[in-house]
Amino acid sequence: MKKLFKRFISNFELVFGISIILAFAVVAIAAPQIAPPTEGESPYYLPRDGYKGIPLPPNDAHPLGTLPRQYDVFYGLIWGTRIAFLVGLSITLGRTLIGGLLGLTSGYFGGFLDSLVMRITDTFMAIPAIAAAAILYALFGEIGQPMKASQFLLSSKNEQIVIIALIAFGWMQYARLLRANVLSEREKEYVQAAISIGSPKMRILFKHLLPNSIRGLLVLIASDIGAMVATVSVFYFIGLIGESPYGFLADWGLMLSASRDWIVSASSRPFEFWYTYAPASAAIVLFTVGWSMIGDGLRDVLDPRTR
Amino acid sequence: MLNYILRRLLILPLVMFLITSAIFLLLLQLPVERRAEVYIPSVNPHLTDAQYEELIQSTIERYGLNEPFYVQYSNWIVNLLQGDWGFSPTWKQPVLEGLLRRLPASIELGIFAMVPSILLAFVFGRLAAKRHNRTADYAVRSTAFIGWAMPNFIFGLIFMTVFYAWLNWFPAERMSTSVSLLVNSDNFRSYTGFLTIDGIMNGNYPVTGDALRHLMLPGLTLAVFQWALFVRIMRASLLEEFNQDYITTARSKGLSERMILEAHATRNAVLPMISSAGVAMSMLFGNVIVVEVLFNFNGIGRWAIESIQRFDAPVAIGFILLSSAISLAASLGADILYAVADPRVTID
Repeated sequence: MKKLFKRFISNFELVFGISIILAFAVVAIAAPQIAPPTEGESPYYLPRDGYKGIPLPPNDAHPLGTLPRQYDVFYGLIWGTRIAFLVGLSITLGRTLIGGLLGLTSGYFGGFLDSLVMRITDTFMAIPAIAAAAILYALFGEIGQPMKASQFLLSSKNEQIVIIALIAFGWMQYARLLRANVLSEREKEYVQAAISIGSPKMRILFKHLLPNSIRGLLVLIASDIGAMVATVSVFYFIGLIGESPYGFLADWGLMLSASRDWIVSASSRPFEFWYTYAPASAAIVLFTVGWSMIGDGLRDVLDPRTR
Repeated sequence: MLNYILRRLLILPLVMFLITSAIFLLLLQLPVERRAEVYIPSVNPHLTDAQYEELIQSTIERYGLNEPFYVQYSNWIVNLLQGDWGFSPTWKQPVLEGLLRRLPASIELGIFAMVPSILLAFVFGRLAAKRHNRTADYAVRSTAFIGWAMPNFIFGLIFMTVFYAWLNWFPAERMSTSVSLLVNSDNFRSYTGFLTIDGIMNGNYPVTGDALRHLMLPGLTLAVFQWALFVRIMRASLLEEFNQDYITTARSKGLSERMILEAHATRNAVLPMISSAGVAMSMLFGNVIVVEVLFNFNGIGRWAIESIQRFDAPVAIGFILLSSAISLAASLGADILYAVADPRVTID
């Protein structure tokens, strides 16, 4: 255990990744202090300062400038941290629950159930998640779906659709990994011993197999949290999730997509409107890379063979 | 071997059945009028709204859209097999025609990104493993980490701002306006749909050059991720091979390091690359869609996304069918290639 801990802190990637994510967590927790919201308004929507269409460069009132239609970039960056954590964690949690349950049962019980679950997994694997989200959107999406004020995470019906699609069509790797781990754990002596003394099945499953098989899953979960934030941003960027009529949600992806027309500007100065897209992109990159470093580092620590 | 391929092929119909029925179950949740659009094979674009309404009603009658599930499902499958993939209300065009016309552009883009990235991944993966924990290894490792961990569309944004907006070295979109006029005229015959190859076959080299210039930025964006993915796999599996007993045996026989790397380790290390190629292809497909939208590249991804933004159900269904078929074919190809490359693979 002590040795594992030592490997933990001597792993540069892991330490670096954890510090990045901790910094984001601090920002997320301290958001009301860093960027105080307007009284009486929902804090998850960007405050606007006028209605002018042209984004303004950084000035005294707006430390990082404004987006088109005068939404404050700095405010969005800070409160977007909370949304990023919520989006990333909820998608990976959903994937872990579905994939974990299926992988665990099919690995443990085997036989017909196993092959059935594996064929279903194959089927889902064949459908690219982006196409799945697109079809759910085309069939059930709506323009300007209003929402209740308490539902700050799932800003609009369209974002709910994307999140559901990413869960429903993204659990397969989890199931496969957990199944493979359970299969190899099941053959080990301690499990055989538990079976031979007549432990109940549920006890073997959840007390022995689950804790010992889940380690490899942590790597996947860690790098997925960041990747999902980037994926949801992609859906904003290609225009499959729009603004909710309720306001401009503090989401990095939405901020980036709002700046889409200002990236290649008509003027001769190429990076004139950098403040519309650079801060949000940097936040997405740091968040994703931070989680990936944690995932990569965890893999090295848990499985030092490939170092 | 043949047995393995046959058994692998036999799973295909089952998977296709599961996919189509899942899609159909989703489709059933729609109101019947929108569902009817999926059955219309083609339509005169000059219909008035009232006539279109009438057509929808007659389609509902004809395909029994108020009948039980299995009747509707089998009607739909028969339609699909006959090439009637529905009619897009957005573009006033049959879905299959719209998809197939743009498919070559997307495939061309995918190949343009995939081939060099795999070759370079092979070279750099070997280099990194050979120089394990030395400067070259660290350089390859960190570059690959960045390419793998950074969101791909952010790379696209960077390339677009730097090479298109600022330096203006490479353009966006699929072809220049002058070329598109030429390509759509009668003087230009489309043999393959791949602009680069068609240009050569027509003896019109400027078209090929133009196509290559337009492929550059989206291709580079895609290649960065593919390269990073494969380099990481190649390096890790080579390092794992180096720890195996047979390498120790080879060393103790006095074989040269070069011989060990080239004749022994590389061959075995290629296997994980092949087995992950199926998943990589399906990831590539997802990235192609995003990159096409980003660079305004006229392929199936951009076409589909533009229709889906308008809630075009027939295009969405055609798109998911086509993309699942492509990714199934890719994983099947990878599996067969794996079985060919690794004689130890047996059934199951």
